[in-house]
Amino acid sequence: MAKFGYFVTLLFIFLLSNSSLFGQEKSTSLGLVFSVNRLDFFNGLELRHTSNKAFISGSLEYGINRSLFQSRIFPKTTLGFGWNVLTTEKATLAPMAFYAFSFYKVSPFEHPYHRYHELYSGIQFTYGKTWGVKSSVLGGSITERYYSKIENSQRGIGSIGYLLYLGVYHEL
Amino acid sequence: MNYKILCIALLLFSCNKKKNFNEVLVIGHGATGLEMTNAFYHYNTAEGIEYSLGIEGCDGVELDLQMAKDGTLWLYHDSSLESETNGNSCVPNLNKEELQQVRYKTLKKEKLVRLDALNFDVFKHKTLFLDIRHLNACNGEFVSMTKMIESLEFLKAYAYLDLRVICILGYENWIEAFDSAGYEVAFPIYDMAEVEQLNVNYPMISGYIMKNKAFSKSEVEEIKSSGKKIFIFEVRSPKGIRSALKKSPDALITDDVKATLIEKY
Repeated sequence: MAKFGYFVTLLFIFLLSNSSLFGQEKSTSLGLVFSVNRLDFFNGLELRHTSNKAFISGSLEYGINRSLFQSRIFPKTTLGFGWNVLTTEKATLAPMAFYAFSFYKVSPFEHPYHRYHELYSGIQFTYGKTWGVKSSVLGGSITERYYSKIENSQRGIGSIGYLLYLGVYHEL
Repeated sequence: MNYKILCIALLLFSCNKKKNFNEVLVIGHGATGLEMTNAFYHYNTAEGIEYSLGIEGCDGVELDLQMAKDGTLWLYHDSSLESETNGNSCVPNLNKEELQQVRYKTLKKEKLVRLDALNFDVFKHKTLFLDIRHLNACNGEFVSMTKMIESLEFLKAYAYLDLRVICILGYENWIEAFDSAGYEVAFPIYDMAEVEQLNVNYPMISGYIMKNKAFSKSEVEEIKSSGKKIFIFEVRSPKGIRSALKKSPDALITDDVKATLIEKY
């Protein structure tokens, strides 16, 4: 899963540096996003670059329950890319792939961090031009990695997961 | 002026030292917590037990125990198998061969677990609460207490692991027999009126199991002053966990081990 994360990051950098591959219609937007997955509710900022029909997005978020109600920072970083298959003057509909990494500290012991890798695919809908709203529905896998005191080593366990996104954005 | 008040308030807030809850044991309810969306394994499963006990700081697990027709002991929470598994009927109506085929209705389709089939090495220095069911919910009949105690006998072979076993009983008539068999007994209570009577009739009870919302801090202190241990369950939200910790119980049987560890330390 971690290797796939590196691959997606490299792909993201490649796409950014070669965005002319997708034509001349380019735009970049900054958005405020709210999301929910199996772990927490999240809030954060998202940067999205669209080039012709393709788009890539990245965000920095924090888990609301852990961060605000337990004073424990729960950061999450995400990376998504997709292709607008339906485009009208104001709305788009796109299938997308999505990767997220998050972690938080559970205890004060030697190996206190629990880390989560999420890999999803789904649909994103946007509406608006300069100002707009977006919504994504994604499903896929979620893997938790933590230090198991029983095995005395890092351990990963996987399960199915989901991610629902709502956001507002402004074209820069 | 307003800035001064704000600065003083911030100073006071930042100096508010967190209370030390080091003595409170953190116990996973059903190992992974009941009906938790962030739990990757079903409760009362071998995988869930190993997951929770592997988390540094988790002191033990609470498991639901039911006895099958042939005297084998199985971990299962609900009354009927239909609610959570692909099985039918109730655990006390079936035998080992039938229960071995039962799987949870989850993505991972975890097996129903036989207590003696667990890898007990993972319980080293841990506390194991066994919530022992005395009724067959399908026919309303009591299961055999003698057979239940006999079936639990194998646990004594794991004494070298420093494993502490606490039996949660829901039926008063079983208390003396379990105590005589050498088990630490905990009994559920729902209000203060029960406590005095239980203390008089069953002085061998080691501690009481209670819902967090049912008892205040002063009531918990009063019970503890009678020499009984307090085990609080039904805690899952950060607010609930904090309020339970402030009552200084001996153990917190929590639905969210990780959230509880964050609050504890």
